[in-house]
Order: sequence, then C-alpha cells, then structure tokens
Amino acid sequence: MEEPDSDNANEIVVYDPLMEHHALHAHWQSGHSLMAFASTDTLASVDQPRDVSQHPIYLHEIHWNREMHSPVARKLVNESRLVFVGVQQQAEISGKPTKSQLLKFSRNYRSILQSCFMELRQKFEGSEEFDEELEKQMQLYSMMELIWSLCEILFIENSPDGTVLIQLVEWCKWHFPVADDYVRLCYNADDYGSPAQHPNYWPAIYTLALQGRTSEVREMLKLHPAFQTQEHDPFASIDELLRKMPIFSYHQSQSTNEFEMKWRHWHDECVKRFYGGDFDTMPNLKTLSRILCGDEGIIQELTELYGSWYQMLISYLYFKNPTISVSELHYHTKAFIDIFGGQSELGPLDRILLAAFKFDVSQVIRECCKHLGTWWLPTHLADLLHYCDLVPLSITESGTNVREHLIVEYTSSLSNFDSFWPVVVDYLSFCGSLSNHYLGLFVQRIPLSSEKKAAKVIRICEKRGLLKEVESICRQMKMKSMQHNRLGTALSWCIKANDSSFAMIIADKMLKEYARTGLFSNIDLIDYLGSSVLMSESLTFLGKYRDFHKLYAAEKFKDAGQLLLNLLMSRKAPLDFWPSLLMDCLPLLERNNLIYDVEETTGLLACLNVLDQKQKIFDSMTEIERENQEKKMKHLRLALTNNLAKAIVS
Amino acid sequence: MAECLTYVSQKIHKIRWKPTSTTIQKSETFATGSYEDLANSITIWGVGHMTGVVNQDKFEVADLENSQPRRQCCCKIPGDVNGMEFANSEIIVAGLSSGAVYLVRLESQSQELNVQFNWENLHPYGGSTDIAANLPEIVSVGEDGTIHIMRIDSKRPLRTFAHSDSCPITQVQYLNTHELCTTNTVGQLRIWDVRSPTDAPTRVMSSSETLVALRCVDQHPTQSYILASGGSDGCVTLFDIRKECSPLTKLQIHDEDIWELRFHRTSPSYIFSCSEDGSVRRLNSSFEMKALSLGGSNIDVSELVPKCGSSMNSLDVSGTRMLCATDAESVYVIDDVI
Amino acid sequence: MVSVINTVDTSHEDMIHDAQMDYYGLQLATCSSDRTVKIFEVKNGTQRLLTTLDGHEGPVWQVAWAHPKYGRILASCSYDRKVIIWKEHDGHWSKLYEFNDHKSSVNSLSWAPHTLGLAFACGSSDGSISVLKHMGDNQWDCQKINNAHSVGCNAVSWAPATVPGSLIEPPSNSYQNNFVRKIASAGCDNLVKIWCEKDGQWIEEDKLDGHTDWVRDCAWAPSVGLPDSKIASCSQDGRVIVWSSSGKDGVWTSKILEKFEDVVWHVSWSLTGDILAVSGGNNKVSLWKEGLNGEWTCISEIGKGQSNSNSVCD
Repeated sequence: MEEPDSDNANEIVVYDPLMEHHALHAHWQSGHSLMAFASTDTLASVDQPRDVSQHPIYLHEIHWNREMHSPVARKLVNESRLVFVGVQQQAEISGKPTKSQLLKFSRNYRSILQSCFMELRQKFEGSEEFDEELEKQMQLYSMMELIWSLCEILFIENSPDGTVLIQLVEWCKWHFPVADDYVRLCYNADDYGSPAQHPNYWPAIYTLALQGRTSEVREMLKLHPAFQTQEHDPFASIDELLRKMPIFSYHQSQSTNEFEMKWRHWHDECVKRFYGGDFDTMPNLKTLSRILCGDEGIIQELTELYGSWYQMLISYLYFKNPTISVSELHYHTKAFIDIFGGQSELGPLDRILLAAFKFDVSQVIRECCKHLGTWWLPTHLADLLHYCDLVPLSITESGTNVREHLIVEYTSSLSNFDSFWPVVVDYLSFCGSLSNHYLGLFVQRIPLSSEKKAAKVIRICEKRGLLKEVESICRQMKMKSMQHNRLGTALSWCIKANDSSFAMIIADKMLKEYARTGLFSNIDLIDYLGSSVLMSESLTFLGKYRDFHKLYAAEKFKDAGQLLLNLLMSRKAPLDFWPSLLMDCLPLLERNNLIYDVEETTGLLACLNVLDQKQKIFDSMTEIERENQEKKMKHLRLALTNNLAKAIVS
Repeated sequence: MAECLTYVSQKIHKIRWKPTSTTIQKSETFATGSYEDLANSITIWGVGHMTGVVNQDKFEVADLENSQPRRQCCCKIPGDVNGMEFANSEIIVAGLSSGAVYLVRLESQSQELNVQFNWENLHPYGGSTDIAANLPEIVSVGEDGTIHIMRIDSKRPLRTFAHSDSCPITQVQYLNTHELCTTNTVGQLRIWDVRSPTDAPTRVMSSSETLVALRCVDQHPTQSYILASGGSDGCVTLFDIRKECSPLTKLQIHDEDIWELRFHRTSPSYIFSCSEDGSVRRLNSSFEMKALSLGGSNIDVSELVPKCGSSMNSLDVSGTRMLCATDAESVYVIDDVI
Repeated sequence: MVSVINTVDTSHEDMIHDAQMDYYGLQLATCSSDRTVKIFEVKNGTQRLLTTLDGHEGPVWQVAWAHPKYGRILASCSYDRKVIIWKEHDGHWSKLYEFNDHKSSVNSLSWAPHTLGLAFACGSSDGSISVLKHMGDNQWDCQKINNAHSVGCNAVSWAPATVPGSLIEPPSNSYQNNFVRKIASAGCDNLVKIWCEKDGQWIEEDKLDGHTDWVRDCAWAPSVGLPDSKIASCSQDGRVIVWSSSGKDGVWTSKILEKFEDVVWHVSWSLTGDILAVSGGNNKVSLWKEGLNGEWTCISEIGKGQSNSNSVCD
C-alpha cells in the first residue's frame, strides 16, 4: 500500500504577480479557511509611490479538509454521526457502554467505511476514464478500514485471555487477498492444462498456508498429479499434518493449556517429519512443511510472494506461537521490520500499524492525525477507545483532552460546509464540559437564512441552555423583520424573546401608524396575541384598543364607550394617540341613546383640555393637517357639550 | 413493514411520490428537492428492487444497488427547494428560498427533467416557503406573508394577497378550486377565498394562546371540513372549519416541530406525521366529530420510524408506501405502512 | 489537503491591508491604500461586489465586523486618523459614526465581545488607545488611554468574554457583571501591554517584555471556556511569542514559537483558538498548532509564487 499522500499536502503556493515584491499576509476566516493577499508594511511611508496599478489586486481564499464535501464523504459523515450519537447516548444511559456494545458500534463504523469504499469502487469501475482522485479516495477508505479493523481486534475485541492470532489471521485474509489471486490465476489459465501445471500453483499453496487456510491447501494439493494417499508418500504425510493442525478458538470451550499441549504435539510432529526427510524428494513440499514448522528462514525467503512485515509477523506467530497475547506481540515486531529494511523504511501506514501492534493507543491516534489527512478516523476511534478506557484523559499542559480535542478538529473540518451544521452541533454537544462554549461559538456563525432555520437553531440552543444565543438570534430576526418593515413578524420575535422594551417600541409604531392612516396593518396578529399582550403596557393598550373596535363593530356601543373611557382616564394611552382616541368617541356621542353620563362626559372634556394645552404633539403636522385637527377638535368639543346637556336633562 | 434506507449525499427538504394513474397501482417513482447545499437540485428516483437488471458479474454490488432507489434524472435549481409538489404526473412545481417559483417538466420518454417556466422574485424578502398546485393554478406563499396565485401559462400572477399575513406563512393547501388554507408562525390557520374582493382571509383560527407556530396542514380527503395541522410544539391540532375558531382537539404526538403531516388518501383514519425530533408516526382515529370534541375517540399512535437522530423534514404516502427524508441526507422508502 | 479554492479580483486600485469575512461567512470586507473599503458577497466560490465605501482620506488599515445581533455594522480605521463605523440598512451602506480624536494614523481596531455590548478599541501611532462604547442613539462614549505605547500603538485585541471560573460554576444570573474587560495592545516600545477596566477606568495591568524590536501585532486567542488565556504577538525582531496565563495568579509566561529571519507582520487565531496563522518572517504564511505535549509545530505553509503553472509545489 502506498503512502496516503505522496506530495506534500501541507504546503501550498499562491500565485499572484504582486507578491513578487510584497509580503504575503493571511487572515483567518471561519472554519478551516484563510484569506491571503499581498501587502506592504502598514507603517511604511504612505506617500511613497507604488507600482501596483498595472496589477489587479487579488485575494486568495484558502481552504483545507475540503475532501469532506465529496458525495461519498458526506455519506460517511452523516451515517457515522448517528453511530457516534448512539455511542454517547449509550454512555449517558449506562455510564459506559459494555464491551459487546462497543464492538457493535465499532463494526457499525467499519461497515460504513466498507459501504463507502464499495460506492467508490462502483464509481471507479463505472467511469470511462481513469479517475486518479477516485483511486486515491479508494485507497484512503480501504486503508482506514484496514487500520480500524486491526484496532478493533487489538483494542476492543481482544478476548479475556488476550489471544488474538485467529482474528489477526482473518484480518490478513480479508484485507490481503494475495492467496486468492494466485488461486484464481491457477484456475483460470487454460494454457497450462491443469492448475497444477501453472507457475503460480506453488505460490498459491504457500500463500494459502501462510494465511492459515489449511483445508484450502489440501484441496490444492489434491490437484497435483503426484498426489497419493499411500503411507510414506510425502503428499500423504503433509496432508495428514495439515488435517491435524489444531486450531485455537476461545469460543470452543477449550482451555489454553489443553490447546497448547495438543498444538505442541502437532508442532513436534511437523518438525520430526521435516527432519526425518519425509519431504526431501519434493522441495516444494519441504518449503510448505517449513512454513508449518514456523521456520523463520522460510518466511524471509517468501517475502517476495507475500507482502509486508505485519503479514509475515502474523503468519510466523500463527505457526510458532498461536496463543500469544496482545501484550506480547511487540516483542516480535522488530525482527520482521528488520527483514523489510528496518525502521527507516517504514511508511506512514506501517507506522500506524506498528503503533497498534505495540498497543500504544496514543501513538496510533497521533500517527493517524499526522498521515491520514482526515480527522474522521482518529476522532471516532479515539472516542470508542476512550470508552474502552484506553485513551488516557491526558489533560496536557495545554489543558486539552485528546477526545475532545479531536472532536473540535473534526467539526472544524466540517464547518466550512454549510450543510453540515446539524452534524457539527451534534458532535460539539458531546464535547465534555466545554460543549456549551464550543456550541456558543459555533451557533453564532450559522447563517439564519430563513425563519425555519432560525427556529431550528433556537431549539438547539434552548435544549442546551444557551439562552444568550437564543436572545441574540431572536434579536437578529427581529431586526431583519424591522428592516423590511414587517412589524408583525418583529413583534412575534419580541414575544418569543420576551423582549418587552422592544415590544413597546413596535406597539407604539403600530399605534402611530394607525393614528396617521386610520388602518391597522397588523390586526391579524394583534387580535390573536392572547395573554402575550401582558408583556408590555403599550401592547396591553393596543390589545384593549382593538377590543374597543371589536365591541363597536359588534354594535355593543355601551361597552365600547366604557372601554374607550377607561383607556383615556387610566392614562395608559400615549399622549400623541389621544386625538385618535377622542375622535373615536365622536360616533358614540352622536348616537341617539346616551352612552356617557355627566361625570364621564366631564372627564372626556378634561382630556380634551389637556390635549389643548399640549400643542407640542401637533408640531410635526403640516399646516393643513393641523387645521384639520383643530377643526375636528372643535367638532368634538361641540359634541361633548351637547352630550353633557343631554346627560343633565336625562 | 419493508424498509429501505439510502444515503443520497444531499440534504432533502421535500420528498413526493409521482402520482399514479390508478390508486391500486404501486408508486415507483418519486422526486426529492434539496436545500442548504452548494448546488441544489430536484431529483427523480426509481424505487429499487422491481426495476433494473441483475448483473451476473457483480452480483454482490448489483444486489445492494437494486434494493436502493436509483437516481433517474436531476435538474439544478437555483435555491433551497422549500416547497415542491407534483402538479400532475409530468409537472413539478417548486417554491425556492430565492423567492422564485419553478415549473419543471419530467419527460417520461427521454427520462429528462427540464425547467419549463419560472417566476422570479415573487417573494423578494424571505423567499417562498411552500407551494400548492391545482392545475392550471399554482399558489406560492412566503415569509413575507404574501400569497401569489399563478396560472401556469402566464408570467404575471393572477391574484396576489400582498403582505396579508403579518407573519411568515409556513404552508399552503388547496381546499377546493377557490379556497386555500395557510398556516403561520404565530399559530394561526387561515382560510382564503381566491374570489374575495379584499385581501383579508375569510377565516382565522388560532391553535393556541401562546403563539406556538403551526408548521403544516392537511385536509381530510372525505370529510373536507376537517383540517389537521402540526405545530412546533409537536402537537397535531384538528379543526372543524364549519365551527368556531378554536380547535376541535389537540394531540401531543411528537416532541418537536411537526414539519409535515398527511391524511391517507384512501384510508383517512390514518394521519402520518414527521418531525424535527427525527421520528415518523402514524395516528389512527376514526375522526368522529362528536367523539373528538369530547376528547374521547380512540387514538392510537404507532411509530413508523423511531427517532433517527436528525430532523425528519418531509414525508409522502401513496397506497401502502411511504417516503420520508432527513437532514442527515437519508431517504426512507417504507412499504406496508397501513 | 490545502487548496486555493477561489481568487477574488478585488478591483481595488492599490494594495489591500485587511480582508475580513462576516460572522456567517457570507460577506467579505476589504480595505486598501486606495482609501476605500469594499464589501463582497461570497457564495459557492464566486464573489460579487456589493458596495464601495468612500469616506477615508488615506490608506485604510483594518476593517472589523460587529456582531450581527447589532445589525450589519462594519468599522474601519485609517491613516487619515479616523475610525468610521458603517451600517447597512436595506442593502444600502452609510456612515453611522466617525471618530477622529487621534492625532496620527489609527492602525488597528477590535470589537469587544458581543456580550459586553457594542464597543470597540482602537490604537494609534500617536501612542494612545481609545475605547468607545455605544450608549444608544448613536451616542458613543469614549475613554482614552493616553501614552499607552511611546512612539505608537500598532495593534489592539480584546480579550474574549470569559467569566473567571466559568467551568467550575454554572453562570449565575448576575454573571453579566462579572465579565472582565481586557485589551491587549502592541507597540513601538517593543512591549505588549494588558489593559483592564476597573471601576470605569482603564489601567495597565501587565507589561509583557520579550521582544527586542517593534511589536507589529498581537492577538488574544478565543476562549473555549478554560480559565487560562493566550496571547500571540509578533515583532520586527522576527520572533513570534505565545503568552499564556493560567488565570489564577495572573502571571504571564512566554514561549517563543519561532524566531524568523525577517519581520513578522501579523498573527491571527482560528475560531476555536487551536491554530495560529503567522504572516511574514520567511515570506510565507505558516500555520502553527500546539501539540498535546505543549510544543508548537508548523502544520502547514503557504508560500508565494509568481508564475501561474501548477498550484501545488513539492
């Protein structure tokens, strides 16, 4: 397998003709992005003439972690988010997920990786032209699956007695189908008559053996023309060894000691037959028997056929020490790495796997961060291992916890892409004690593009107790509505935020509008405010005033008149609204049946007098308006005096 | 209940079955409208495992593929698809966040999706929030409280109720050829008469005292005076539009906003609802007026999709099949929901 | 993978000095020696010039967006000794307020955390720092720190609004009052200074001495709720220093992140305060990250090239 990125992915060059003579500057934007541009020293002499006019002035927007926006990555992000949330919820319920639950979660993650890989492969095979980007992506996903499954075996699944080889052999078989490739070649080539004639016949047998697939080896051997079952035949001998090889499994209610005894016996038999010359006539069978004996030398000889140090390590241990425990694995790594050229020859993937074999969880995570170019794997793996108690909290000097640190990194890599905002919120919600601080920072930067989105963000904030942010969002929405002269909408945001002072401003605005035009543009809202009117006095007044209109419309003149009088006498109405209120009395006064008695009429007259003294409110009116107003007032005074007379008489 | 879950790498805001010619026919084609994406689109999908040829060579992949809906065609749309309906089996209308309304034609022969007509700038502030069709008419509502009624062959709106709602309108439905109902963010359900000379609604009904937003509405298919609406408090509220303005009954079905609800067209005792809380539920009730107003009537609620961890934005039911779509870029096709 | 996803022709007629995206990443403000401020709409890798703001009479050094809860407000500071506050209404930008109480070029400005109300600080070549607070109705109350840095102030940066001990105790109702108002400033006296408001007065709380030449920029790291604070500073002497204080004893310790060969112009923190972008020094922009062992390492570099061939170098 290749290195994840052959070119240096962490360095980039910005091309700009201006930069020839000027320094490069960069400023952070949100998420993983920077704005870069050529600039000069701000303090240098400003009067100095510059030669920039012939060049356009450019800004360069630089992003990273954009690979998370590809369709397949979006699948990975969204699907794994549900597993992640599942893990956290399980942890919240039971304190810590059980081992079997963790294993299930781990397999969920792995199946997501697999299905992403499948989709990539389908695309890759379906595309007409060779797609390098797709191929790179496929490599990345298969590598992540490889790393993840090894970590699952070593860190999560490991059985109580610590034996792992059976799973490791399976891991090799699944990820490195070398043997299957050879076998296929043997069967498919008609040129050679029979598979046994094929040049890959023996490589197929060796690699099958190295992967511990003894029954398949036996099948292959049977194809050989010299295969015989008579006693003392080398084929019969090796066949017997293969058949009798004991396989250890934790689940087969077999004690380790019992197995070791059996296995030792079998191993001794292999060695005995080898040295007894059973296979001397057949060099190929001799090689095979050396594999069975766990002969270190033969492993070296077969490196050409069979991949890498870790595969060899596993094959060797399988035949040498099948009950080795996880903690002992690292004693053997060095020897095999040396065969492959030593530490210095290790690529990034080797280093990640080596750290895993050494059971150094922190190192695995560090190496993954460094080399994978995606935060997905280290973040999710660290989270699971955190619940296995394998990731130390490691509060470092900088005060960061590894798991939380990675979650923040992962979300930053997602936050450049608007669609991911609910995903980011979910992850930040499970970021330990700092969750709300991170969430607070993040939600402020979610564009409130629609009422619906604002409602969604508000709900999230309310759930997490981010009340300051709720207030801030309501305020923004209210301002936006005000700007577009949507008073009703603005008022509904005030009510949501319980912002009585601003509700007052809006209520006054509505009253002013009514006083000016005689029309309420927001009746539809005001009439249904219900108990919300109580949050502000102006709003209460507004509601009451609307009630007056309704009573009047329902021809309940007596009640309407009383309500109007109350509004005036209680001084709840803003002064500049008094003219409108008083004018509303006029039709009531002109009705045949008496509505206001002596005392009430006097009260109304007193109001009119107050108004006369406060000419200031008419200042803003034009000459004609003022004249009109005065005319109306005169008319009203007359009507009131008449009413008073009527009232005294009755 | 057979269920198929697909990740579509697009945040889906609206999902709709393509209408079938008969009710017995099983729906096999549906449309999705995306939102909050770099490039939004309307996509036509075929339901899996009935169509498609099994490829012998890649049996494993092909099998997996066959159970999943397959993308048939797609059409880029300049904005969030906030409202989307099939006007008939060939025409899809969509209301966008940009304030435009798009009319997209599905060419069944060539399997292509093409923009045929568009009305720009109908809702310059806040965009269109929903759309309904009753050919040849289309109605679009917006955050600006405006209702536009268009004919599909005319560039100018036929009728506009300008800023007739003080608050953002959340959904719209045709009740009959000349009446509409809308919901808004302060909990009102309004009935409008297209023929009315004024811009005022003919009725305003309020679902609560506390101005809890109403998010969606649907009309009972046979008892046309029953309307069901879903609120941001997770309640389904039933109204009898012949009666007083207060609701008949209010049922707490979800924990968070109900984004869409649907009466089953042929078995109207079922209401399906989907919610921000991530679940899809089915109510079963006789909707017997008397019983409902007494608060009785046996209502049983079953969970069709348990809380999936992200907002369930849209649903549609046709025959026994249901579609729903989430913010987690997934689409569910569920069979035998009744 | 790092990539240039978009190159914007700003249509400025002279060098730009600052480029700031608004809170939502939807609009971009730039300022230039051509005396203008420009605002762009940025969407899906395309940009559209919305407006050009004229009003300054000299090169404009910095622009800064106020928190959106106060509306669309942008501040700019210039060589012409002025700070201008711009406000958008209905898509139209206009001058809201002009502050011209400095005797020399205003080099830097910084908005206060939004929880502290609408307020900003600016630093000038006349050596003083002004702190302006909006009192409502476009009335701005100004407090001046005279002679903050002899020879001149190059940069100001507000401390994030943290409540001491917020991790330990949940914020109480009165926590608005517990916010500490602090500013860091950098000057030609080779110092970084910390200013703190006590009883309505700005007083010098600390003096960070570590540079041997003019300090060009300083930036207070965003807080994620931990009680400790971090400030990055960079200087003409080529050094980039990260200062940190545990918050308990108020003692600042310094760590030299790197000593470059050339002047370092600018430092800026990522939103979560985990990566520091350093401009200058080696003619590059480098990104630095504090490892779990407390060591700072360069994780990415952005270099410059003149030709226009390949976008990735080896």
